[in-house]
Amino acid sequence: MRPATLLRLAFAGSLTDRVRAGLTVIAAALAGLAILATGAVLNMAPTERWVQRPGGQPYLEQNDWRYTTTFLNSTGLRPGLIVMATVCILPALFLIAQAARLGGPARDRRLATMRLAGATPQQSRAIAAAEQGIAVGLGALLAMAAFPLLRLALHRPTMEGVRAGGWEGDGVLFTPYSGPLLPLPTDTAPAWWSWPLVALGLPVAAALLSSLALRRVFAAPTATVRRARRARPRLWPLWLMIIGLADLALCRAWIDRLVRSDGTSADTTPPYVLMGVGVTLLCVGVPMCAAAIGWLGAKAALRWGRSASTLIAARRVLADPYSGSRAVLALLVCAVLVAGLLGYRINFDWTNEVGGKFGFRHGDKQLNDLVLGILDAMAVIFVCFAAVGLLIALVDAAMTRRRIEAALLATGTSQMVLVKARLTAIMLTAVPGVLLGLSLGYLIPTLALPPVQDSAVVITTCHGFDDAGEVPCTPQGLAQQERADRGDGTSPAYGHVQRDPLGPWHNVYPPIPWDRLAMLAVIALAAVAAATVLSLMIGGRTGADTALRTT
Amino acid sequence: MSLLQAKGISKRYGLTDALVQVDLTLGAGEVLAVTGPSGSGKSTLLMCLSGITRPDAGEVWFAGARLDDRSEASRSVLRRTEIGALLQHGQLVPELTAAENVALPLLLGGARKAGALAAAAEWLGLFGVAPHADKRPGELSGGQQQKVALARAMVTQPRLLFADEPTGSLDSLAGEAVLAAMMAAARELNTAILLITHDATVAGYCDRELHLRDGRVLAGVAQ
Repeated sequence: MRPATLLRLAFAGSLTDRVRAGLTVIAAALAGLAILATGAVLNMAPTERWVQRPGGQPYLEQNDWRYTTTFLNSTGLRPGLIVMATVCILPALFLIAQAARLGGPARDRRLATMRLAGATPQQSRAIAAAEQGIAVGLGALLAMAAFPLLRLALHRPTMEGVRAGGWEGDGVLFTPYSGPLLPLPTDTAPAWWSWPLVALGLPVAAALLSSLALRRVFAAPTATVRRARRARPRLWPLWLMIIGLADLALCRAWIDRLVRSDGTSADTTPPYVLMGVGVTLLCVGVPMCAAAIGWLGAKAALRWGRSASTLIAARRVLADPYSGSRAVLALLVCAVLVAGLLGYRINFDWTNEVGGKFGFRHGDKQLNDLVLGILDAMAVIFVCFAAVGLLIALVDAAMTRRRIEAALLATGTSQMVLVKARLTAIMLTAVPGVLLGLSLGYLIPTLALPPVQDSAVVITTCHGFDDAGEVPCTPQGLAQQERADRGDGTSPAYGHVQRDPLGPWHNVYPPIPWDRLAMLAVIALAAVAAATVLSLMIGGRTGADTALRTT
Repeated sequence: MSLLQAKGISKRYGLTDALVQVDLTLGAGEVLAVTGPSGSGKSTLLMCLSGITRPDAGEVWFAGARLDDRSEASRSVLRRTEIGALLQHGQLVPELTAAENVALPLLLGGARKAGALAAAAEWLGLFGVAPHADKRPGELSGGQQQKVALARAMVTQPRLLFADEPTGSLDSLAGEAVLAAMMAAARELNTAILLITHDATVAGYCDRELHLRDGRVLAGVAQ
């Protein structure tokens, strides 16, 4: 087969196939941009350095704070930035996988018809792989063209702020140096390997995955499609989750060992990158396990359910448990990531709350607000990806089942029963999957972040001052003079309460935010219900007569 | 020497015997009808003879070489070059034009597009559907679709054509037109035809008839 023929046949599809290709291009472009951004973050030059003072403790010199925010300048926060950037790649990759399924059955039938015309099994697989590989390749090219332009557009240096400063002795010694500051790391080009990874890695991986996905689809030369009968879904992906959790805990221990007694640390990038692997394993493990969970749910529904819709739904899930898990794939990944972000926020607030008692806080308010804002934005992006993926899958499933459901309608089954059956079928996988995803996601920061420590013994002292000197404190911690002088025009006194931890230190864990986790679960399942109803309106709710006439 | 030979082929699906010790020969240019009621094993026989599935027992020989022990890819290539197939509903690729559908086997074999489309146009003209060359299957009538499918089956000038109920979905007039076109083209090229039908009128067009029941050959009737 000539390349031109391969191209013609790969893109010979219907409107659905073109929508699939278009979505794949967009998803690949987003994934490409995320990879390049991660490459740029990994390539960022240090903005601080440890300086060994003769005879004293080493100190961190902020020798080149090029950015406007502490979040980008702080070397200590850099690994977290890398993990965040890496995690942002995942939803885009899952969207590619989800987009690839759109119109899958129709594509499989087209390939089978080509087999009748003489295509070998390898040729039919090559046609499917070419479509996916070329669409992803176009998306990758788009990302590579857009990234430098975006970098240029977002490169907005400002002169506000201090670029360098240092600490010396007990006081602060600033060696003020004003220079251009950047709101984003647009001064850094992506690491060299990120370009070939986007240009070659993405399309090749997509083509291979597409080819693998067809391994169970047997396009017969009689122009019919058979799917290899799969055994009952196995629970082995549970191991991925267990390994992922263990990886996070071990990496945390590794990082703690890298921190020296004087507060400095060796390079912590490797364990943080391995943490990214652990998060990825969890993100992959949950959707892979969903088929087995849905299958078990369907068995239970078949055993205990009484209505016709439950019977139809349970049988549908038992016949093809992977279909339901594919539909909620992006949603489950989203559940893991959003719960992880929630856990990170809770931990962040908890650290401030416990540490605040002794005057320790996570950076300044600007930094706190920025970090929390970034986390919220990431959660919104993940939810958008999941919603698009869910809608794609459900519309596709609705269109695939039109004829079967039309036959049921024609034999007297009510439309409401079919709607309930669709909703029940998807919920059998979505409910346990979302709960599992949220639970594991919340565990990520719990395992990955250092535990918050509190002191068992705290000495509280109060110091009151006014213009004349020290004044006594009240039991509430206010300077007595402050109350006395209020209203008579004299200068007020200031009370300063100091809490000094004496140890021993022990770990304290924030209360689990059941209400917020429950809210996330409700939002996710409401999104599934809404997407199901929407999918019926877009592609599936057809009368018996019209659907039965449709070929 | 016979073009196609089946030696004692058997096929079983679960506990059901679809074919039991079937022997069959087909000479070059010969037209054989395989008849029988639903579930008698006609389609299974076609799939075994065309190499789509392998029989559980027995051998299939095509042009003096064993067919059933070849690899899937090798059998696919053989079906593209030496064997044509025509099914009940045409099974055209809905997104390709009629001309592209006919050119498809040649394109899959590595032919240049211009040459393949020229050959397709010739065959479409032969079957009277040349004016519809640029239309998609959805824009054609059932009879026209079947003629396009026939053109696709014949474009490689096969030595053997398998036809499974080729007129089953057509009215009698359109069915007769398709059948006549198929027979004329086969005689022109000396192509052997194995035609599966349960229509006695259609079987009447053939040189011989083989009647199957419960997977066994009941009788071979010369017309």
